[in-house]
Amino acid sequence: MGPVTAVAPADVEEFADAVTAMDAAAGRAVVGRLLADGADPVGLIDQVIVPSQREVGLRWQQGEWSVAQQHAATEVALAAADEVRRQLPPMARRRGHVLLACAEREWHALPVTLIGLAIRAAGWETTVLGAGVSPLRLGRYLHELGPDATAISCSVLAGLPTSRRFIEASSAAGVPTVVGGAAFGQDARRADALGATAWASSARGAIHALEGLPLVVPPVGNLPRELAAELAALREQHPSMLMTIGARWQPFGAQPPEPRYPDSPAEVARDCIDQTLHAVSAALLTDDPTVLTETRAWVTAVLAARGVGSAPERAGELVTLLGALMREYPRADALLSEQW
Amino acid sequence: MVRPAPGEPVEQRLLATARRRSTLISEVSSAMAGSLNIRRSVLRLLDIVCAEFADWAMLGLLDSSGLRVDLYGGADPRNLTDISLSELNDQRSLQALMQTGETELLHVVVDNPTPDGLDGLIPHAALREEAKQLRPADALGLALLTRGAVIGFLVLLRGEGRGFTVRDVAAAEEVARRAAMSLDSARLYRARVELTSALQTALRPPALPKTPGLRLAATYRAAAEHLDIGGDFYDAFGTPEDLSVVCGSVRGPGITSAPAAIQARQSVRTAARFSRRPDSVLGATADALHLEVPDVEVSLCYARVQLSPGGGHATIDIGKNGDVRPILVGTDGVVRPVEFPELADPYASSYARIEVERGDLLLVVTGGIPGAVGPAGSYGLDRLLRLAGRYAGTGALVLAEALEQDVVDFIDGSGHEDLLALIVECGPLGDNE
Repeated sequence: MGPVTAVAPADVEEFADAVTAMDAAAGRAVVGRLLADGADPVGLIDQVIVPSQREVGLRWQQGEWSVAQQHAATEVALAAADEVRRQLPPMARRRGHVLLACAEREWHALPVTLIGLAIRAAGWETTVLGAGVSPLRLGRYLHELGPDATAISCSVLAGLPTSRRFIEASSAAGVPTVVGGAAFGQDARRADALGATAWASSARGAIHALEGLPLVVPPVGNLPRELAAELAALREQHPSMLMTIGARWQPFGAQPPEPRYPDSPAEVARDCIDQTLHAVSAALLTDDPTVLTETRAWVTAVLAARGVGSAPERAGELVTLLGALMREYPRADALLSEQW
Repeated sequence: MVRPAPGEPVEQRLLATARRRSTLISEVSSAMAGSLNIRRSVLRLLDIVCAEFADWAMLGLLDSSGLRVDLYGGADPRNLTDISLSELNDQRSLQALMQTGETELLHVVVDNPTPDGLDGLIPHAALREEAKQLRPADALGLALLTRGAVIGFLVLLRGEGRGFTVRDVAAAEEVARRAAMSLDSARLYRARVELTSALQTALRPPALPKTPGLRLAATYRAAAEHLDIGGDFYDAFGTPEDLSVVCGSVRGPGITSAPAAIQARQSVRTAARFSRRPDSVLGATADALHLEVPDVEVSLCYARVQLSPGGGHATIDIGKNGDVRPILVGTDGVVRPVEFPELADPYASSYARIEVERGDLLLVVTGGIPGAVGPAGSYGLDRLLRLAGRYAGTGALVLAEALEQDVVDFIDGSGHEDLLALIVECGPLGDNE
């Protein structure tokens, strides 16, 4: 391999254009050319592919793209990831074996794929289980492979409870965990609360975190009994709460679906309620109330981008309705009273 | 862990030491119960014993052949090495404990070259050298004895002034006994994994071929999700101009259907060697399955995809029987199940021909997806068709991912049958990403 070359802003833009055009062949070609020119695969992942995906998420948030278009654009990044994988040189040394997975309810397979490639480029053998993995399946691979670490990617708050179960399963086998993804926030607080061994905010960060892991970790302690019971009750009541709030909270009012907003108002409202319900559980689980404020800001932004007048007030109504349902859940009730 | 302060009465110190021994034993038991993986179990054991009880440790475990010994331990226990069992002949102490199961406690004189010292207990030059550098006072060799057999050994070293007392030796023997039980279970698990992984490789769905002018995608979740195999199956084979696509389901509970599924998959391949016509393939396959697995009910869809010379158009001849549904998803968002003649017998085969243009998708699902049940009821065909319509024009891969997500989210953690969808997308020639 020759000297590593930096990625230029024009390259980043060219790849972003391919994503916008949903042109997988073009995206693959950009990445292929950069790698052939000596770009570092890990830098390429962190500086080219990941930023393009943030843009994809923003386009949905701003009402420019439907969920289906989001999926289609993500295929460009997956094609690029495939090109990175194709061009990775054979592993010169084996530093250990890392098992990578996304928990149930986490369907963003791209981040875990990219992290897997970066880790492999750094000399680790990898087994990537992908998105929506059950704890049972993860457990089987833990027993069969006996990895040196488990890497868990979680972009959505709904995936945090099963991420915690992944951490429990790994640590029960003595295997340290590295976690990352948007749902884990901007620092190690949520990762620490869940009992993860390390937290990483990027592909390079994940490699660095792996290098510092202990060989063996003790099992993480159980969640406090009352907290676990309340989380289980919230989980069980999630579908009915979704329906109850959905019947009362209609931020779009009688506004007919507008062709310029690709997803229907009903779908968007449902997403907002679902996210907010998951945010309550996530805040309890991670003991991090910023989850709630972030989610409220997100709901406001989603509504405002779709032409809902007084979006902050509509988000406030959602919180009020949610608060009324949380009276039976003392921890959630207290959290909402304090934070919202 | 309780630690007596210097100057504490002897009784308290003894009590604290006894507690430490007891904690060590229970820690080993619970820690090793957490994994069925040999390497992870050994690493945990070494981590615990080296925390306080010993200054250095090494473990040897007979491999599945019984002819070699895997060695773990030393400064970096992740570096595994192995030796031939016959090499233990030079280690008199080790050989003795492997034969008798009896503990060997040696008071070490490091510079003494006789084989009764560390040379007799540590059968690996680098590990032996590392141990000698510690200038240990005592070396304790313990047999890993379980279910009447010695499956390995554990060697513990302690430095000067920290020799092993009689009670320490008793505690170490208990540790070795519990570790041996766990490691033997892990050995049995590994043996089963080795046995089943070869079968799983044959039973797992194949990788779909990359075919110019077509894109293929599948989503598959077995009912026994953690095993990745079940009774639903798919396949694609042939040439880019004349491709055979198969999607089927063996009725029966989970993993027990898997052997019949592989039989069905193979029967279709064999039948298609003689004729690619769906009626011939389904007929020959039914005959073969009737002979091989007569009590098994198989739903099957066989599609022969013939691409036009310039690409961008394909003629698909479909034959199907039983609970499997081919659905046409047009780029314009129009979604309709492929129409077949009505038949009195649902397991009789029926046939249809469809023409697809660039961007159109043929989606084939087995009964698990429309029949999936979640808190809100059955997933159903209507929801499937609506979802497919929303993803019209996005491509086979995107629809496969979206469908998997939608179904799994819908069932919300409930148990399910095998969930299988196979998608064929007609694309331009030369585009094979």
